[in-house]
Formats: sequence, C-alpha cells, structure tokens
Amino acid sequence: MSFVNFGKREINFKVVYYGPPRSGKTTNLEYLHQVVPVEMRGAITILSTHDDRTLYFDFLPLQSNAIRGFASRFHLYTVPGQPIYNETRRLLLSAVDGIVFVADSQWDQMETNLASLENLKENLNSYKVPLTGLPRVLQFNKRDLPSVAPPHYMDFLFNNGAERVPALECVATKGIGVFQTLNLIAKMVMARFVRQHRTEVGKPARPEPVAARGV
Amino acid sequence: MSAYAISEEQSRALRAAAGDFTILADARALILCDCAGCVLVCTDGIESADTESIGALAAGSFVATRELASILNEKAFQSIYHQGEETHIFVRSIADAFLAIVIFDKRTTVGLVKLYVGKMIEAMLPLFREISGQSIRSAACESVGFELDTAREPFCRQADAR
Repeated sequence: MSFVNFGKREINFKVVYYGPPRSGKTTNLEYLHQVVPVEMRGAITILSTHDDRTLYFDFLPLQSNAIRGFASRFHLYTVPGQPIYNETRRLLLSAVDGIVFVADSQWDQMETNLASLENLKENLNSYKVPLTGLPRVLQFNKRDLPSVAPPHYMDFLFNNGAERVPALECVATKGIGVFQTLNLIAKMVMARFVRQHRTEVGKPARPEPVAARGV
Repeated sequence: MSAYAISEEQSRALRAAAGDFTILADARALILCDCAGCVLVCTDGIESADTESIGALAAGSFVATRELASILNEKAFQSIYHQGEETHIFVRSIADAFLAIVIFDKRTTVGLVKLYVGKMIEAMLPLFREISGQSIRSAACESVGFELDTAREPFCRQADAR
C-alpha cells in the first residue's frame, strides 16, 4: 500500500523479493546496493544466520525521481526462503506494492520454485490480495549454471496463468538482469499508482503513455 | 489496497509535537513511522541515512512481538524497550497503525521517555486517527496530478550517473 507524504513530497512503495531458499534474493539486493549511486540509496540491512541464510529479512531503501514533483522511495525487502519462516514471509507481504519472484533455474529446483509460488499465493490470500493484478516480475536466476531449464520451459511453468507477467533471465552474482528487474518492477509499481491516482481533486485525465502501462 | 497520505499541515503538526517531545524528554531523536516502517517525520539527532533502516527494523520487531503476544493470549504488547550501553531505544505503538521510536541516552531515563511519549500520543491521537487510512484526495490541499516520467529509467548505475 503506497504512502504519500505531502509534507516531504514523497511517495513510498514496498517491493518484496520472494522465492525459494538460496534462489538469489539477497544477492539481488547486495548487487543493487553496490551499483546504485549513493545519493539514490540508503544503507542495506541484512539479517542473516551464521551461514548467510536470510533469517528475518533484508532491506534496502532506494529513491527515484520518476514521478514528477515527488521523490519515489522504494523499500525493497527480501523474505527468508526456508519453510520454517513462513510466518515471517507472510508478515513481510503486508501492504506490498510489487513482487519480484526469484526462481532458481536449476532443473532440480523446479518443484521448490513451484512450492514457493504457491506459498506466495497463500500468504497473499491471508490479506485477501490476489496475485493477479499485483505488479510482478519473474526472474529466472542462476542462468550461468550448467544444468538449468530453458527459459521457455520456465515461462510455461511459472507464467501460465490468465495474466502473463514479464520474465527476465538473470545471473545475480554477476549483476546480469538485476538492474533490468529493478527498473521493470519500479515502472510497473509507479504506473499502477499513477493510473489509480492520476487525477485527484479535479485535474483532467490524460491518455496514458504506452511505455508506462503495467503488464 | 489504496494509498494513504499525510498532508503538509499534518506533517508540520507532527514535526512540532515531535520537536517538543525531544526537548521535554531530553531524547536524542524521535521517529514517527507507520507499521510498515515508512517514516512520517523524524527529528534531528539521527543520521537521515539511518532513519529508514531504523523504521523498517523497528516495524519488523514490533510485528514479531505482536505475534508473540498472540501466542501468549495477549491482545498486543504496546511497547518495546532495548537497553544498550550508551544508547537505548523505546518503541511505542500508536492507534495500532503507527509507531513512535525514541532514541535516547544517559541524559534522560526510560521512565521519563515513557511518560512524555504517553502524553504526546494522548495529545496527538485525534491527528493520528485522522491520518490513518486518509485518502490522497483528503490530504492534498490543492489539485495534484501524478505523472510518470517515461523518458528515462527510474534507476541508473553509478557509472551511468557520472
């Protein structure tokens, strides 16, 4: 749920990186923290176990000026992927504006990916928020590993609903596809916000530019 | 879910109340945020780069304690207190929708902080209730239009920014 602060001329959005354990969610945020200019980002917070598995969540605040007259502040979160932390995942989905689903492209992870996607739908249902209509990007990560499923197969497996969403191939450890994912989900989230709140207090509506349309 | 908003006037009122509080309680800083961790106002006394992280962590902490309360058949725990060696933090729930995060040190005591936070919340409760769930239309004091700049990407890399 977006929050507009007219006092600070800010719009706040929440994006959650979701996916099975060790799919690359934290790696996405770590890469973004390295390459986003310092004036456009805050400190990264990583809450992990001794073996680098997300324990609670990771958090990275970013700022964009893409909505004219306002600073768009993006709060990026990752969820812990391990099954025992399901309640934490559910709590982190509260008031979410957009989802990046990070799937592990390895053949032996397909079942785990599917279980995670089902888990996402269930946790969103607890807030009566359908997955359909929520700005969402699929990220097929670890494309550099030897035994990975082809993208069209993964697209068939994870993108076969009535609503098709953008899917990007990615190697998060090398930053490939990470920035594109961020920009895509950011545009989708902001486009939806602008669409929903374009005219407030009587300003006439204008036709929506093609590039701004969410998928 | 639709967006909610805080107006300029409400933001000024909160900032004034927060400023008064830090003086009365001799606290280092006060952060007011919503239960998702989005910062509404923050007094001086804390690095601006840290406020969002503090908001997110405090909100995460608070929601975890809410679940703990539920397991113990309590409706909710209203506050959390973390005591450090030099710096302490006190977090108090406001109207089940916001959090007051007080950062303080040896200049004051947790008892005084609790006392003045309670007074501040009591005085500002109608305003917090007004803000909670307030639509953008209600918060905007003039005609406002949101327009997306589609000519460039929302984010760029450090190399691209130079």
